[in-house]
Amino acid sequence: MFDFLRNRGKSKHEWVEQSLSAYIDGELSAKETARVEQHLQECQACAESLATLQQTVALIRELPTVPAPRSFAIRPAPVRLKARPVAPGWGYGLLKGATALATLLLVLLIGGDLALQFLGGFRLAAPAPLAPAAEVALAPSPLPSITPIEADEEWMVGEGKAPEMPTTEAPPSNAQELPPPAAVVTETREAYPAPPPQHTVRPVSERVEGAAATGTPTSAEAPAETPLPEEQEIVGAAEPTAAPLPTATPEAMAMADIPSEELQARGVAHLQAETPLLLPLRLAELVVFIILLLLIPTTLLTGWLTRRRGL
Amino acid sequence: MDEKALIASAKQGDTRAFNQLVSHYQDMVYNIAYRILGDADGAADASQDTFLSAYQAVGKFKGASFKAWLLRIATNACYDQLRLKKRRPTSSLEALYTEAEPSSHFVNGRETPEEHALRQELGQTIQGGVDTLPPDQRMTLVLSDVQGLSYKEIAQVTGVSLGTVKSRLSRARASLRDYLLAQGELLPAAYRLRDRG
Repeated sequence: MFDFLRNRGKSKHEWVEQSLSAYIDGELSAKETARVEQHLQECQACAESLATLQQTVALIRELPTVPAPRSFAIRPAPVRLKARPVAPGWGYGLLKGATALATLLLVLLIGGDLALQFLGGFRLAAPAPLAPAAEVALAPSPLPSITPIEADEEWMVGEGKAPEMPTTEAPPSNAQELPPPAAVVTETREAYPAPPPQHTVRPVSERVEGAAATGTPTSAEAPAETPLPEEQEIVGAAEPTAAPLPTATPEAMAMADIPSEELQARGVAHLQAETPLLLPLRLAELVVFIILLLLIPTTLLTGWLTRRRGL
Repeated sequence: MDEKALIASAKQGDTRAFNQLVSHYQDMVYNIAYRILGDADGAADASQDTFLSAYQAVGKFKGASFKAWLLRIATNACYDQLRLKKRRPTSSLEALYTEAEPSSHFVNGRETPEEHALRQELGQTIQGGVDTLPPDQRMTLVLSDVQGLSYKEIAQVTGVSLGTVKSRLSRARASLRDYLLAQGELLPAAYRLRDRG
């Protein structure tokens, strides 16, 4: 409407050139159309421009319509996932705490049981053989305390912790039979340390009451088989740490050359009866404990990584 | 199709009625988007965005022309796609043409393969010229010469005055003409502007 104001500064040629597009579309007023047509007759450049412009518009309009490659319809019922009911915070925390507590208790239970079994077992091993020892001690016939020297094997007693039993009461026959203790040692077992002469030699079958059977020097010198729990049951052992090793039982038996039925009936048979029952259970318990110990750090690590990634 | 009844139903949340409107206008919207963007994938995205936005806003529609209202949403979606494209230029102009399906754009049963190839090449050249235009001019040119809207409708859609539409269209056509003249050597002889003139 006010184009003539804006076009006042332009030459007629420029104005016509800029109005050719609208002229093609018939968007000019009658007066403007007449003005353009008049100029086109005078100006060859504008006439040529109009022709090229018309061809351009024709080319664009010839461009075919590109159909939609697919439907853009809106889904009738947009699937909206319902928010899962979120468990209340306190309930979730309670469950987590309960789970953690249960796990902790389980670990403590199994760990404590295993600790008592394996660690405490060594400490309590000394009192353990007490039961058969007491029985034997109470038994009248086979335990005449010192006198019967039936066994071939000799038993060494710690030096300074000699029992109250008078060493002098040791039967001379025994001493005679075994004049040099070293010889006896060679007979029984070479590795067995030769007892000093002043030490009393006692038969294995006897139970030494109050004897410091665990004399550290002997344990250091002697092989593992030296403390023989089944055979040498020490009543009132001063040092329970040096308790007899159960594994030495068969070897000791063989070493001692004491096929006495009593020993097998009391000690060995006692342990052999328990071992096949308890061993698989203990192993299973140990496996469970190891799995628990592995799972706990794994769980903690996973939780930490999850929180770190913000998942 | 009673457009007013469909619009009224769509405003009440009738998705089926709205989809009838979609099926009626989707070719137009996609074609405009394709010519403005020169990219089939971008055009599909812009079309999807257009109808999704229209579906969400149809309740507020109070205008007289649903077509102009829809085209306004479409041009805005194209602006968004152009901005996205500008930030992430992923494909060259040549790649755009190879990605498109020109065989479906120039279907004419009476054409020989040679004519079909020439027309296909011409279409690519024209689209290349359109792509060189500024977005405002490009949209005005497409709405006018591709879609055939009047100046008044274009002013409605783009929200500018008639004088602005006129000047934008004039500049767009002149630029495209110059582009085609510059590409004259590439154009088939039958379509060369000067030869025709």
